[in-house]
Amino acid sequence: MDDRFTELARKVLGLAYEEAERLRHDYVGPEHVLVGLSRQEDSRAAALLHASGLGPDALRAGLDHLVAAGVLPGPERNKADLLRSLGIDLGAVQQAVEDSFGMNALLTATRHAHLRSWLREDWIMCTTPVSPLSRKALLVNRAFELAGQAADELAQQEVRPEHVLLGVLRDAQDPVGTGLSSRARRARAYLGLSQRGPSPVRLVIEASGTTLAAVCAHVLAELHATT
Amino acid sequence: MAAATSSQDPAVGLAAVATLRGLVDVLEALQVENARAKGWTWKAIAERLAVSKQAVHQKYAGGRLSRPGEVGQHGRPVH
Repeated sequence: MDDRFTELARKVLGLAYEEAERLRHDYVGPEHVLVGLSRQEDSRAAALLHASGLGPDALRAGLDHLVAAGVLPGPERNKADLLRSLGIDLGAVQQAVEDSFGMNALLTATRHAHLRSWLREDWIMCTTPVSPLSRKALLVNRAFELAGQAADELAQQEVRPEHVLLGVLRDAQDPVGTGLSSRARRARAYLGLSQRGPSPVRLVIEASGTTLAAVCAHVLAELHATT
Repeated sequence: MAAATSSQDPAVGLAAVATLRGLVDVLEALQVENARAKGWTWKAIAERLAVSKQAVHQKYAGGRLSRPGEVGQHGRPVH
């Protein structure tokens, strides 16, 4: 994430991570960022979402519904539980590897394994390769890139949570997998994510009785008012 | 909790195997990297991995895991 992101905008990612953790997802996606945005205090983005009927409770209920419908991975689909079903204790493997080689060697090897097999660029950050021994995969690159573009369009230097919200909404206008290479698609499959269909963000927003276009218009009006 | 219900469900079983494969990929890269750092040749590494030298070379050489500064291409394994 570049320096233009304000402190508040950066913190969204931490909240998104918490949301992914709540759902026991092995990745952080735009749908988690949306909940993160809505949970932030003193943020215009949160106020805008709330005014559109998209508070944290409504959004979380929406995500839970998508899990129940099989659109998003269920809590049992996480790497630790999957490996446990084979009798493998991921925590123990992780500990053994760190004891023998240290954390840095692990990160390097993970990166190498993935440069080789799956992802290098695309919309998945190469700094967080997908592997059972790495942290959650960040699938939010495209949304954050669009957030930066939104700030550019408005000739605003800083990227604030409102821009991130706009990025998430614009990203959601396209079906999932837009702009992904076959490698990145495989990574999505590996994470238990679908390869096509409307974005979960769109589904959650529409389930709350509003539309992407309507929320986008709200955010843009707000952003224009602050220039 | 997953273990009790998963073994007969292909969706879980297949995903578990894919996850295991990802784990093996990283563990292999870690061991190969360590062996290279300790001066092992590709041939020696391939022998212990029970694959052909070509296979291991193709997979890991090409700059990323080779360390020309530390041990030359013709370096010998430590033991």
